[in-house]
Amino acid sequence: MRFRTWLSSAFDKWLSVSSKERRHPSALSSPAYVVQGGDVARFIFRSDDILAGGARPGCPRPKAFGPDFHPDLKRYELSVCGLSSVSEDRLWVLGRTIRAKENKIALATITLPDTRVTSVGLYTEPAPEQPHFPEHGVILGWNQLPEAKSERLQVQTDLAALCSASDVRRVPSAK
Amino acid sequence: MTTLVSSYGFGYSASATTPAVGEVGRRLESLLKGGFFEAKQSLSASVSRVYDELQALAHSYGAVEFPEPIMRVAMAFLEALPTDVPAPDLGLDSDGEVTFDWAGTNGRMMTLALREDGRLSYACRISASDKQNGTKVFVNAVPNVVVECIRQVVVR
Repeated sequence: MRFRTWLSSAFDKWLSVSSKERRHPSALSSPAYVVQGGDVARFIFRSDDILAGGARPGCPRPKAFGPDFHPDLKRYELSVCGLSSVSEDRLWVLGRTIRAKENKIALATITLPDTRVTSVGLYTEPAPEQPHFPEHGVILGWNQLPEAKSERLQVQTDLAALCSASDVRRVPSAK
Repeated sequence: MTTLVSSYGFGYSASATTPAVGEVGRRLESLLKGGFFEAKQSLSASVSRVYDELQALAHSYGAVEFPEPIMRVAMAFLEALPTDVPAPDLGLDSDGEVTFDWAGTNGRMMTLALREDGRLSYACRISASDKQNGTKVFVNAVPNVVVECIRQVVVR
């Protein structure tokens, strides 16, 4: 009986320690920001990413959704910010800080519902590899051939056409 | 027939979308020599405004991101657009290509990306079920398929 008690106690102790070691620090208490069916935001750092006038004033241009080629992962991806459990204040703090080293501050965001992303043949994944930006995600599913720019432009155009001026949120003015 | 200096990589081919030969030759030669101001004087008001926007865009990005060769090919492209086509919205892609956008009603959109060597990537959306995209080479005449796409997008 004493051996069984000791064995049980030792097992419980081992289970407790190993469980803490297996859990990734970011998974201990952080919520999921990029979730299936949720919204994501595309930060806008240049005013020419938004149409100024014409037939669609205030709407995003296709270039606002231009994917970048990740040199290490060898894929085209479009950086976004997950919006699940993200406050308005946190969103604009990120807009001021994530490209601060390049002296760039977000002017606006474009809200993209998950259904809109999937409707043009793309999908979103969390990508929290950047320090201080666990909300980071990427939109994938782009044609990966370097010379397939026109195919990527078509998807960008489809995405832009589905957006309206109401999807664009300007950075709040200082109070 | 005006013969242009080919060292800049521009030949000349007449098409239904270009103005008179001699006039184009004089304008393009002026551009190639960097006579931006002189070339702008002879253009329509709308295209002249877009030239100003192109220069402002180049200044906003800086010489590193917007080098002179891409500036020249973008100017040549604007020059070659038919006069019945409205001026596009300009931009610069993250890969250094100049973008030209036209937006119409009901979600119609046309976007072009022009590379320094004249490669022209385009995507056109008339509706969810009427779309096309492709790659052409721009020398100094805008490909007919691109012109037709633009006209379909901007039609009222």
